[in-house]
Amino acid sequence: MFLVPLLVLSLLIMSCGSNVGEKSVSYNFKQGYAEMEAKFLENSPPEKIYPLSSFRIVLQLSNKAAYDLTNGRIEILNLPQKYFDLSTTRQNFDPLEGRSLTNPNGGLAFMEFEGFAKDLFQNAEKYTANYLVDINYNTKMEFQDTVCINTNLYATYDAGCEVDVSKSYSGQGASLVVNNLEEIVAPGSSVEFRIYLKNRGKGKIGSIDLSRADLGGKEMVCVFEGEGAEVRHAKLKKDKQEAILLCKANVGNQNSYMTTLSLDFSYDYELQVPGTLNLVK
Amino acid sequence: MLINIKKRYEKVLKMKASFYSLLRYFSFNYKFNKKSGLLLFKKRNGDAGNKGSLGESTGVEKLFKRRNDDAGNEGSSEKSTGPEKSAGKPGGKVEKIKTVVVGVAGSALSTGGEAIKKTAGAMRNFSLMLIVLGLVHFLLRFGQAQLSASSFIFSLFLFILSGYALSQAADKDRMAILIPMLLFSIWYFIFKAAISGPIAITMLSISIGLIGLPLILTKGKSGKAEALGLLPILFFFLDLGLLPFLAEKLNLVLAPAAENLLIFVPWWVVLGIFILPTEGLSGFSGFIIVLLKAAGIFLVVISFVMPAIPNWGHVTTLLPSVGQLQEAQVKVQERFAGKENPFISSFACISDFENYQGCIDKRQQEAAYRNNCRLDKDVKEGRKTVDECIIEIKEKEKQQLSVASGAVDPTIKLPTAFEFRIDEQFFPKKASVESGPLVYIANLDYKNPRQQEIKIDFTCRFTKKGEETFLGEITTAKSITVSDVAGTESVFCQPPAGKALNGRYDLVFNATLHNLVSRSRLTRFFIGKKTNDEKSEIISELEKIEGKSLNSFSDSLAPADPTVLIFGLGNSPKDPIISSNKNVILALGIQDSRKGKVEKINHYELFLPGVTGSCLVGDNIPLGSASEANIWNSGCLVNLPPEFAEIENFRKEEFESMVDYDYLITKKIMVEVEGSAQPQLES
Repeated sequence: MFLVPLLVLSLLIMSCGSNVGEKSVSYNFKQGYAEMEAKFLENSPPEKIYPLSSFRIVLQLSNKAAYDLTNGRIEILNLPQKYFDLSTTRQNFDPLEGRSLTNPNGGLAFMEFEGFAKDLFQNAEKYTANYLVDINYNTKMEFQDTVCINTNLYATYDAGCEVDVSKSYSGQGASLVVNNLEEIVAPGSSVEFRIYLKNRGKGKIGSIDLSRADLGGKEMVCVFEGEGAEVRHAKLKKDKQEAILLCKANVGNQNSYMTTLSLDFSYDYELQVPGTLNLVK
Repeated sequence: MLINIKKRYEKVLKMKASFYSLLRYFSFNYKFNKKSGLLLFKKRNGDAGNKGSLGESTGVEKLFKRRNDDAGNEGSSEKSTGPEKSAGKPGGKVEKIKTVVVGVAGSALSTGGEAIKKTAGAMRNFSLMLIVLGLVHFLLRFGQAQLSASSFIFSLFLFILSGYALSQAADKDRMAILIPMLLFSIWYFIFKAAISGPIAITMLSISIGLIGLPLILTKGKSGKAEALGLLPILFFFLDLGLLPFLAEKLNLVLAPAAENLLIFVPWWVVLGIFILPTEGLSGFSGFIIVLLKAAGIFLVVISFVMPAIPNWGHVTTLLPSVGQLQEAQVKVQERFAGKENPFISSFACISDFENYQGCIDKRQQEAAYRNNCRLDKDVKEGRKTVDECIIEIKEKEKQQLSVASGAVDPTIKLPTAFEFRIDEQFFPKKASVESGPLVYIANLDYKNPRQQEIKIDFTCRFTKKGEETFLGEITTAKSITVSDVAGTESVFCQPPAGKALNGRYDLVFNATLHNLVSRSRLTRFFIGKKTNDEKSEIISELEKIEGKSLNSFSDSLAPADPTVLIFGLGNSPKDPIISSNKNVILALGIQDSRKGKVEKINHYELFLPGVTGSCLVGDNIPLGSASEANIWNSGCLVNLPPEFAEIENFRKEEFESMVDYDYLITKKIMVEVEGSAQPQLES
């Protein structure tokens, strides 16, 4: 009874191509969270490698974040030289463009490592080598939001805006995201922002630098909170990938108004991809 | 009043139309006998709705008649009462249609009940078939070291049978149960369980369509059937060895109870019990079936919950291939082949409160010994009994010390081995001098998988207890060189010329193997100069990469050769992590398997590129006491080269050692010449 519509549906589905990606001019790539994706190409390395034969490890690097990646370095770790000889264990890769209207899929690169498998130990049946591909790069994240500044809290005739004490965000298109923003107003003088940063990616952030902090075009004084943090620099521990940034600005006593808060961060990121080589008789 | 009549008439017509459609829905043929005013009906397949013929009295028709009797009417309208009477003929027909509807409804219910009974009956049959065939499949496969293609096909057949059995449980659209089974088969066997890439996306889209469309068209009624289709898939996996695979591939640490589940559960039987219907069963039998079903569900759940699941970052495909599953199953079965079913052991030891686990372990061990001895060549050929064999094994285990501090290399299945064997039918255990020259034959069986060139010198010696000892004469080649993978060399020993034997002697055959070479390997992780915190981080990272504790790299690995050189390298010899901000120690030892005796260590060497130290090489090593397996030890401090000392992250490396030695294999046998005592074999 369902056979004909099922067959028709199957044909329709199978004839569909892969999703190329959105090309809408209105799509904002700087939302959500994304990072570089790295995966091995099929059969590189092959499932089984034979002694005294060559092989290749090929990685496809695809930048799914909305920001360019620079200073990329890729290293293969934990492969014993007794069994595997790699032409090189470390390579740099060119900057990868982030996703944008002109490049909605993001930058793409292929990293290849040539290798040679040596002999097995005596008459062993096989040797399994678990290794790690360690990828490091620098990238950035830009945060912008419109906030209400109102230091005149007791004014009754101020028909301006209302201060949003706490706001949440879903991400800015990178692995480092601004999760929350708190605004604390000191009546008559200054405003303080607490920016909660978090790593939402699969890798690890080593350190974060604050490269710009503006409120309405004027620079703010910012400092990272926490042990070992410096004024505009924070080192993150591997087991705690979060940071809090405190920014202060003197705004004087005036009626409420909306203005733009802009923060630019740069950070180094480490992504690890495990792999296995099976050397068999 | 006219309006009332008209309304009633319209109502009758509607009821009539719906009544007839009801009859058709329940597959009735019907005929309205205008003369008698009776509506006669018959189930199309001749069901017991009315016993297969029109007009016969049935319980339904009795109801029909009773209703009419109650109305004082057997079909005519004259005796209609109340509103029917005022409506005249149409009212009379209303009465009849009403009663027939009741009768038909009753019949339909009884027909539905019969349908339910039929379904339960079919399910019961298939369940029983699944239980029986599942048991046969389990018994055929249990204890086999090798899974065969026929076993896999049998499992596939049970997969399809279980799908058909489960389809009986679905109320509607039973064939929908095949949809997930078919999709799984295509995805797993043809597309190799791909979980990424265009194939996976295409399969997912098709699956969603093929599963979703029937749901939409049947308004969700096919959902049950489709969900049931997942059960055969789950049990197919369990039967093939999903759990052993999880243990082997993902290095899960399994509790003994979980190991029992791996191998001793007949999964298709469990499914058969699970789908056994309880309709028709009452009282105790029904309770037992429900209990078994609950146990089956519990078994499946705990079989996945019990093993600890570590971080499996290396897995690129979620599901293994059939070959990988079978390979893992074989490995687990090899470990368990011959052991007693732990449920039986548990039951047998139930009264041993004080030492319950010890009792189970002992029974398991005895069962393994018994199984091994049943397969022993000497037992099969009647030279010794199973009990004698078990005693021998236990004796050997007491004496033998394994390559303990080094470990046996699991990747090398074929070690170098030499052993004398006596063919008793050709051996003159008891002879007379008058019978002619005495020739004593021993066979040296050897396995030389690495095809070493080994020179072997043969001697034999006669010893009379408390008296003389003299060398016998080897009348075959006294010295040979072997280099093939395996073989047997027969050695003839005769008393020396002019020497008359009289009485009992211990005859000892000796084979001295010269320049045997054994190698061992050791894995170490160099981390350079790191703080303790950094070291801890690296250790946890390495354990994630390797998928197991780094303690598994503590010992050197070697094949089960007669003698091996074990070694340890690190800040302490057994620590696999080496920091270069501490001293690095090299510790060595020679271990004898005690299958013979180490005569001489000619040379040893450790291959540690760039590493310097005073004990990396040695010649003509003096040996320690023969009563210990560890016959020699040494050690020294070493210096690491820059490539191991100055490391940014970490580096894994494997090192090798070799030992060149002479080894003595002996075989002692008591012989008697012109005496009455029976010769005895002594090893």
